[in-house]
Amino acid sequence: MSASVDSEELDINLTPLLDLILQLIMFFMITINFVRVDQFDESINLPLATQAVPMDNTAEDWIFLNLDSHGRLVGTLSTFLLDTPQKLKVHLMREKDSMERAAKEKGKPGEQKIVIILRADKQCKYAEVWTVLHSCQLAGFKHWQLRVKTLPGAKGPPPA
Amino acid sequence: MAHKRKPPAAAGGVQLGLIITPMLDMSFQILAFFIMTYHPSALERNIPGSLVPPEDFAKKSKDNTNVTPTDPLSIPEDDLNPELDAAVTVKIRCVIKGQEDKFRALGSPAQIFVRTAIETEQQLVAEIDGKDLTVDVALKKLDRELKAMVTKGTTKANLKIAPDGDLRQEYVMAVYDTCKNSGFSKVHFVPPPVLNTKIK
Repeated sequence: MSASVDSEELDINLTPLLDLILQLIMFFMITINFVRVDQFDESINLPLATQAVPMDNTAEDWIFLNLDSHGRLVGTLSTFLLDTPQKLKVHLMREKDSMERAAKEKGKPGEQKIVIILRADKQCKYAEVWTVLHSCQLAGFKHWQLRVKTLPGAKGPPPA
Repeated sequence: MAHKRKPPAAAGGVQLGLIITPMLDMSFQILAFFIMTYHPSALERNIPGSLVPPEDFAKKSKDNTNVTPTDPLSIPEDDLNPELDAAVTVKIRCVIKGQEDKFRALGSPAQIFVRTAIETEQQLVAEIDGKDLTVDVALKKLDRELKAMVTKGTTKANLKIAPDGDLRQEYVMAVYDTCKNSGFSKVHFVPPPVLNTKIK
């Protein structure tokens, strides 16, 4: 007598596993945040601050600048040769123009609120941060935000 | 007429069960993709600031003869934000090249001063030697000093942080945190004196 005729087939039930996997996929799909490389440059070790606030959502657009520990611009901007404040200023002016042109094409006239998000390494010198900010200022930008790291569970500043 | 019963699949018929193995494979691949691209973005926050347009600097400066619109930071520190004349200034001197030792790193704070608008001279709050007085202790002393000012109510709750150009960003942020925690709601940054001198 052969086993295939009399005994039951012992298959692993994969349905609960599949259910679990699909639930995990749903969780990640909901929480995924597709961001540009500039926004999360892992090479930048941000300083710690508890009194920081969430990102300004009233802005129309953002420009991310990454400063490494030696005060050099890294990330996507490293492909350009922006070794002097003047070159950075010209580059930022071009970026601003193209953003404003794109906004006009979308039917948003007037001045756009473009915010510079500066991700400066914690070992970076204060003067190097201001050299970049000075170029931003000359390029016509009015708003900037300094990106910092917060501790998990930090509540931030109390409302004014 | 008797209903003829279908014979069981094991007895030679075609098995019509759903084959879920390829679906499971694909699900694992999608799951791996999402796990790899997952970033907990909530851990990064921002400290907001604003840049005065170059033309406004020229208007606000007391002496417009040496100021051009392309030279906004070359005006004196006090003209930078005229509405902040009544602000408390926290000045931080840092350890420069040649002064560093095993207790004090290059670019770390060396001295912290505080000056109110009515005082002519800045007051030394802490001199950091790295042994008896560390940065943490100095920041606690600064916190006490600022809290006393807030309690007196003599200030307009405006504060300017004026660090040396060589001070590391992590210490600038530590001082910013201390100032905000002590009760000053409006904290501003002053461009470093080195940068001002260079532009002049």
